[in-house]
Amino acid sequence: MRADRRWSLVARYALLVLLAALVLFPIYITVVNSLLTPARMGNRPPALAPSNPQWHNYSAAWSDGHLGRYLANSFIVSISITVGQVITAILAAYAFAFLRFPLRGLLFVVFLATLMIPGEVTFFTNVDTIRSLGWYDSYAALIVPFLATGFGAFLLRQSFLTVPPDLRDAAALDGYGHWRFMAKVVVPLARPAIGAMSLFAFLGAWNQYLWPLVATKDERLRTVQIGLKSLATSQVDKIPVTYAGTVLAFVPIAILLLLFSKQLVRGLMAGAVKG
Amino acid sequence: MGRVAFTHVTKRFGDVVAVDDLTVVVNDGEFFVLLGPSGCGKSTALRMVAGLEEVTEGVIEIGDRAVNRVPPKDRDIAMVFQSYALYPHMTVRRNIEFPLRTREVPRAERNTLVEHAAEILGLDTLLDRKPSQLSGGQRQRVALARAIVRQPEVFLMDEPLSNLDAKLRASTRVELVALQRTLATTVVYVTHDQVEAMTMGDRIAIMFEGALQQVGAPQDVYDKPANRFVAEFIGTPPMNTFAARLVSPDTLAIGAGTLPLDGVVADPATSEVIAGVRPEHLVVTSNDAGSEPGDAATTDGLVGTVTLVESLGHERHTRVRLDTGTELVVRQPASAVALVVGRGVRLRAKAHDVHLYDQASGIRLARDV
Amino acid sequence: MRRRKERQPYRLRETGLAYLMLLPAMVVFGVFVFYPFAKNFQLPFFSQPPKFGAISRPARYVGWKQWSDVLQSNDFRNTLLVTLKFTLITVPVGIALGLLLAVAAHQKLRGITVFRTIFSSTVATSIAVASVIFFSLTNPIVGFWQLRIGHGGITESPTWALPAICVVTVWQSLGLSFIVMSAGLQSIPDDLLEAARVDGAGAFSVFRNVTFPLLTPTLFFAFVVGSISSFQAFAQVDLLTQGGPLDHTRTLAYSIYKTSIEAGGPSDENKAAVFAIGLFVVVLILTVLQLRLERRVNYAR
Repeated sequence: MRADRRWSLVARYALLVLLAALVLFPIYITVVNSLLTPARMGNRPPALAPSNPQWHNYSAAWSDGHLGRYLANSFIVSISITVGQVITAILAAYAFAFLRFPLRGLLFVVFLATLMIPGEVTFFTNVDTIRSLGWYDSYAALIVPFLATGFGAFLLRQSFLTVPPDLRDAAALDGYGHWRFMAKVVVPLARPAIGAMSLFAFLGAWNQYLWPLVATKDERLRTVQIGLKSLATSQVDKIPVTYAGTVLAFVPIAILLLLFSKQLVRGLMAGAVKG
Repeated sequence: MGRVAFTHVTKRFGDVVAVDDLTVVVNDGEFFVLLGPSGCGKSTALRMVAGLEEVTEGVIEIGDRAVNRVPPKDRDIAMVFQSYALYPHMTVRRNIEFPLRTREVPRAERNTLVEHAAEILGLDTLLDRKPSQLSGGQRQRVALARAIVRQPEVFLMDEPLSNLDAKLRASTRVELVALQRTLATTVVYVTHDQVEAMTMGDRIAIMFEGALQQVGAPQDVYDKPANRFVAEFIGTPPMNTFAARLVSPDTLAIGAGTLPLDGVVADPATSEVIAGVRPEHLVVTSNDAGSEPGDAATTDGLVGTVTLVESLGHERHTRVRLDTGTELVVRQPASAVALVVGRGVRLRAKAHDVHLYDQASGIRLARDV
Repeated sequence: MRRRKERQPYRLRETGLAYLMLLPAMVVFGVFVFYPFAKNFQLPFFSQPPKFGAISRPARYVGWKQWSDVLQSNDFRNTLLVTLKFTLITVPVGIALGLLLAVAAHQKLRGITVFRTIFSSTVATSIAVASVIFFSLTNPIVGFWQLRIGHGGITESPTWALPAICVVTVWQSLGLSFIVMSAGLQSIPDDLLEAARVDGAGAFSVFRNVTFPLLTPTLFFAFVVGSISSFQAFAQVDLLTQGGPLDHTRTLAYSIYKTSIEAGGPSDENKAAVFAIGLFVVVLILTVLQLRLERRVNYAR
């Protein structure tokens, strides 16, 4: 009865293909539509593949739609936030993991407490703060409030705690001070955790919507997410460009995640363990 | 009927042959052990009987029917996993009764069977606990209770003792054999531990690299290993094997020494062979002692020097390096005279205790006596 | 071995160093997290009158009245209702679909990795990207699905706007949901499933009796995290419906935004603070719930 095995296999693959199509369909159609003319878009039956790819939609999105600038802004902001978070997290995690000092437990709880206060609860007061600092509508406004993270400190502390105590003793005997120990031993050992944390920080920063919306208004500072808002239009002749812009916003992250999928899962699971 | 038969069973994973043309029959009511080192295919063979792996070629029968296409739940088998595979979210009672619930056995009957199984295995006070609250030994019993509760035809056990500490392992071995006798079911038992195999099995089947090496009662396999692998695998310390040359039908030459042979080698392809003698069959005498009276058919024996003496309390393991360079182990009673390292000695054995193996294939060379 | 005298300055140095290392993060937290958080408890006691020309007038103390006004207001009630509806739809549906995908992708088939990559792909989309895709795809004139409801697109229909937002949200979260559920499935030891098969369970029975119960910790985690996230939903509302039509999609985060910031309109941080505290309370309850029940739900090995 090889036949029934074959049928079962066909059925399984069929289900998988169906599910994959359902998941991927919106993205696929977006790409297709980004290469259509407005006229073709409206015709029925709807196009499932572009017969005459309008590549100029992409250059239109990039320059007229300013997507090039928006992507650059998002990139600058996200990288800065990531670097900042990594540095502050390493410092904090080192203190929590290796140093003994009064109120250590309490301060760690304070760090974790920040995870319970979402941005939606603090943003409007922060806008006032930013204004009074004269940072409104600047990169500083987009970057500085996010230079530290409780999640990063938690993740890295966990990782630092796995450094074998023998290594610490050996380093002490070799005369390593804290800074040398941190730079030469701890950080290299914690590379996977730092990698996972960086990915998360970058992703979180890249996807920010509310804060860039309220903290800046100059079009020159706009990030990709807010840029999409200005691209989104009901004007029929502009819609293919909107699609192109969406694809441009999506592709860099898709590539990033493909390259670093392991770090992604790792970071997510750390969250699950923490509970 | 609890008979299990493999007929030319082969299992391939891609290009890798895990089980190679296995043909063997497990008799109803037998405690049958599949023994071999890691990767020899014994677990795969067991899993094919369970239906957890598909058979690439050949036929597996349980009772009188071929079960290649039959799903595990319809094969009337039970399995004890190495890790016990207890359901962590269920109590002991629910774990044991699970095979009954899946078969929709009515509650009253279920309770009776569960309690009976629990009693046999001494679990009656633990029925409401969860696996995480049990010790390793207790968990193993739960796994066993779950297996026996349905009274299937065949029990399959995949290294069930390997996660227990040594002392518990020894006592559980005894209990398992007693259990099987009481229940009178067929057991197919996989292990890499030859002590378990020798003490528990009615028959043992030794496997290596997917192929069956030998099947037989423990003592038969011990006394007459079918090939070099079995000879060196069974027995602690393992059989000494070394290169030798047939100089005449009743004499084997090894370096400067000789060993006697009885019988005639049926068809000697060449005169270069592999000889084997178990450590307990070698007798050591120091060089100036000469041959001992009372030993039938001895010659001058093997020539060597003592390199190490290990005293185990009840016996002594003496290592001797032959003039050919090979090192042999000799088991001596504690009462024997202790030898000094560096001493020249001679090793003698009875003709009957000398095994011969083909140099190339390792297969036992038959001797007509 | 250090003598007592030397130990003291060492310990002091460590403390100093530790505080130094914690300083940058603490400053950021203090200014941008704890200060605004605390201010939310002060703001509702005051009312900020509109500017007199260019001159800002001092805030007036109004006591508890503003608290009760806001909490009893239609806006607050409606917002909570909308957000609750939104959560009750998106979270269970998202988890169920993620689980479906995870189960489908858990088989040992050739090329299954391709499918796993596809199933997690929406993790690369942001909610803004997903919203714009949806917006364009449902354009009544040229969209792939030309959804015309009444006079306009789906986002202008009072009945269908919230479901539309839900669809966008669920789709965007599929990737993450799949990854989490997959990890949960993979944490179930294979030999448990094999034991269940040998014990006589068919495919559905294995799922019901073994897989699903052992997934409970993962499901629980997904539920809590998903709920917290859905109470924070903002971008999809801002992009697609701006809280309308007729406030049918006015989620909690959007209410806070509208009430506090909206340029050119009556922006009122004092009232928004009450909403913000409401959001915080929800997050707090969900987090505590998870911490408390997590132990009960986990099967200690």
